Amino acid sequence: MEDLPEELRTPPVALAALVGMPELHPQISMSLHTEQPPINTLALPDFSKVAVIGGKEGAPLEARIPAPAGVLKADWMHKHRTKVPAVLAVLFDREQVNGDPAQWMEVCSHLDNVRNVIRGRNTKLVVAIVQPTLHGEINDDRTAALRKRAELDNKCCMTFISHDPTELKRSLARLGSILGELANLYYKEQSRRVKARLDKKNWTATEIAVRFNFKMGYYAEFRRDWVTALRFYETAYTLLLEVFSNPAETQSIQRVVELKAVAEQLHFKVSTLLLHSGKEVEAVKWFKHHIASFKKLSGPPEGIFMHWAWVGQQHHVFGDLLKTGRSTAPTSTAVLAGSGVTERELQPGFYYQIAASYMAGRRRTFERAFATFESFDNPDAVDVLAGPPEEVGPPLYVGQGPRVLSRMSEEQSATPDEYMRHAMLTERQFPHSRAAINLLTKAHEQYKATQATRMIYYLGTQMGREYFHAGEHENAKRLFDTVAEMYRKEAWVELLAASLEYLRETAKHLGLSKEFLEYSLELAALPEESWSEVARRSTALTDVIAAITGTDALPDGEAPIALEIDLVSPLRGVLSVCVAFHEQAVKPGMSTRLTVSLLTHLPHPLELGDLEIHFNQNACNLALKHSLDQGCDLKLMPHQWKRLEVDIIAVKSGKLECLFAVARLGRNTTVRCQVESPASREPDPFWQFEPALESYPVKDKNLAFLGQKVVQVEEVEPKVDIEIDSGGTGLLGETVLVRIHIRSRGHAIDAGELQVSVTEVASNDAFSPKTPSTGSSAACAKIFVPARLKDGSGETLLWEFQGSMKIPYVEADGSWSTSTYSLEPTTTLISCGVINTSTYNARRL
Amino acid sequence: MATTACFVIVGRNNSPIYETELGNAPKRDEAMHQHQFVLHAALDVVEDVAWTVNSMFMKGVDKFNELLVSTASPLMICPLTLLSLPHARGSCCCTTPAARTASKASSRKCTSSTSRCRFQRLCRQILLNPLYVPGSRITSAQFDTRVRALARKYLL
Repeated sequence: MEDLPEELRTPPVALAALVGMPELHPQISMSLHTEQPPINTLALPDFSKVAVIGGKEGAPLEARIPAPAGVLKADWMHKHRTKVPAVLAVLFDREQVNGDPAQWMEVCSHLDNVRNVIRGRNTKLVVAIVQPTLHGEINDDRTAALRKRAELDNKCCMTFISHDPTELKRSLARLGSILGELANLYYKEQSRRVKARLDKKNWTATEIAVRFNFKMGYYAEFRRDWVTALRFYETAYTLLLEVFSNPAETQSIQRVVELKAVAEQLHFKVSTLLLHSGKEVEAVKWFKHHIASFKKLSGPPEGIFMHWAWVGQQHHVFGDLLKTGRSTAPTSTAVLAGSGVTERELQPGFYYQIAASYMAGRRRTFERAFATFESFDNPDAVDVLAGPPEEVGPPLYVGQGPRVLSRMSEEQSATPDEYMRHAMLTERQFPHSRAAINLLTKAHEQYKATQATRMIYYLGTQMGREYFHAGEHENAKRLFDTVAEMYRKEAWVELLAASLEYLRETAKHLGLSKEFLEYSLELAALPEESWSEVARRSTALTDVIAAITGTDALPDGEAPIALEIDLVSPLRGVLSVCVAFHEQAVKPGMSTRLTVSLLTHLPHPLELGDLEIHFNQNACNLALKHSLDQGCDLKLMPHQWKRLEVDIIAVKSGKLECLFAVARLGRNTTVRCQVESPASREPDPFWQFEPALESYPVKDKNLAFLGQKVVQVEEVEPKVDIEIDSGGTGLLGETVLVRIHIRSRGHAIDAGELQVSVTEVASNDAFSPKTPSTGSSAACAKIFVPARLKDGSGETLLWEFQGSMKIPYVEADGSWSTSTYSLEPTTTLISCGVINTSTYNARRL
Repeated sequence: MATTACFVIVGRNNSPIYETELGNAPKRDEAMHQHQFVLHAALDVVEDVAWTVNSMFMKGVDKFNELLVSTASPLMICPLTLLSLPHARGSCCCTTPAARTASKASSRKCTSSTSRCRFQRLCRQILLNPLYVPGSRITSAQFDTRVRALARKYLL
């Protein structure tokens, strides 16, 4: 809207001129500004400058009006707002009026001069005799003579008190009232005069009727008569459509542009008046009528970009008008019902968005037109309309092109070729994308308030396209990443595909190989909904395959690329890996069967170079290489599960879990894919309802529903059993016999040492296993071992056990036992350990 | 006059379960996917308006430039959408217990209620089929043929 002239955007304000007593002009101007309605002032410093407000004598009513060179004069509104006063206030000092004959003659001379000047324009006249205070006499004869000379009413000849504050205020108010009244009268008379000329029908061109109605509307605006103004503007607009109805008129691009510029001004006035009177629905209807009337009048094909520029400008301006002129309260549903106007059409963002769409259309049509222009244009031709101001003048009529001042007055208008050349070269400098982005940003600000989430994402798509065209690929990628998330979530495949295509291109331009591959693969793995989509996605996949196999260089060359696919990745359609152990528990060292199922939704078969399956026990990791000779086929057919069965040997007890699979594509591309269990597998949202797809990753239905990627690895069987038997519960201070049995399983024990320790345990954890500790036995009890005396008496004594006990050779599956005694048992735990054997086991006491 | 139309049935999760482009207007690059974008964006309005009107069919519920969106919803808690072109005087919609319908159409003179009923009947037939998985795309060639025939008759 800022592109439109000020005099069109703001309502006109009556203009009054002041002459004489220049020291009072500031006070009077300020006072007139505060009047309701305000009055602008044109202060003339002395009587010699009065001529500037003069004008030529108006043509008589009966005079025939020739066909005009244009519809609306370019500076008409500006002239009436700043140069042509409706009323002139002449201020004379009382001393001059009452003075000697020479002074009186000077006053009369000035008055006559003023009357002569304003006669041509019919400007109203007010004479004010200025005196400092109320005290003092004014010569009534002179005043009457003055009034008679100026042919004024009594009220138009007033006394102005300048030095008494109270009286000054009163004088200013009175002067303002008189000036306002006379200004209204002036504009009314001007309007009547124009109407009379219009009714005389001394014209043949409809443009004259358009111009006269526009003038009457503008005069009505001066009077604040909005209803009349609206009526005249609407009439002017209707008449303008009649001008357009002549096909011959629409052939010249200059003519089309001019008439559309006039239509724009008329429409602006009508819309502004409708909106400011609270008729929003009518304003929207008028706008739709305006667009529908001129949409088809695009002019010659080479200038169609100017037409889209105009259409876009109309939407932009109307959006601004709605933004500033619409009441804050939402329009009720009852008002909208049956009006054919939707709530969306009352939002400024709607028009900004459409204006941005037309901006894109303007760019496309211009690019085509400019290519043709460059092919056929004379390279030596000069843009004559791009000269300096002294050579190129502003247009005389609204919507016309600049004039070449060096030519004769009749030939100052540019020829159609010169006009098109100038338009082409000017348009080439225009930042289309930036302008579209600004419009979309404004639309986004408006839509944010309405929480139109999906529309905001559509705006994001449009902004992304414009950033892409402007070469700002980072911004484009950021926006498309955001909007793609929305379309993934709601599974709008076509829209997601459109976003991904732009993302591919942005990644390519930014040299992001990994992202390029990701977007390409995701695009290729989307469901195909039309043949055109099939073709485009096949192209995407072909690009990817060429890139990963090295036949086509990736954006950043030969750097290895590692893609990651987790359970929520958008690349799940590219490769999905499901694993299921055939057993739920397994012994260490024992083999168990694992089914690895691979699925791709790419449109063509995908051949994996090799496949690595990784577990939480690294020793179990395995690698499969594609080799038909060895029966390992890693070629995945589209939408079909590829099932591989492998044997896994767990080496450690605990949980054995398959974590991820790494597939190699081409020379330097790997895909690390998180594996899923068949039982808990979430289907791909894009493909879960697709027909004719194998839904189960494994054929065995039990595994399909219960199969897990985790298997429990049990503890190994002990090779040595140690049993401790106390024979019963002992009393405090009692000596208790403890028997220790050692049994070998499967192999012989060559030698060993038995360590027995005693620890005190709390009652609640008496049966929890504890690691024997040599140092912890000191407190609670003592262990004695029976031993014979060396004196040959054969008597056996109990010796306190210390250190470790030697174990003799025990055959395979044989046993050895010994006895010890425990003194003063409390709540104790006796534990034993066999040292220097490969396995260890203990039974609690 | 070249006309074009887009007919979409939107499922419970706001995902399209059936889409078809109708009409003879040449598809320009710049207009690629525009219909789908407009229909998707119109769901915002549909969700709001569906709670404020009594009618199941909402003609011209949203607009984008020359594209007019109309909607039909079987339940007020589950609004549907429909859309039409410039100079359109009729529109159609499909209603299903668990689906939304979005359509964009241009028409000659037609009674919108007739076309709407026929589209509704078609949709009911396909969606009440016991072999149809709720939420899955409608891929029946017969359904597609009949929708296009109805669109040619009533909308284009």
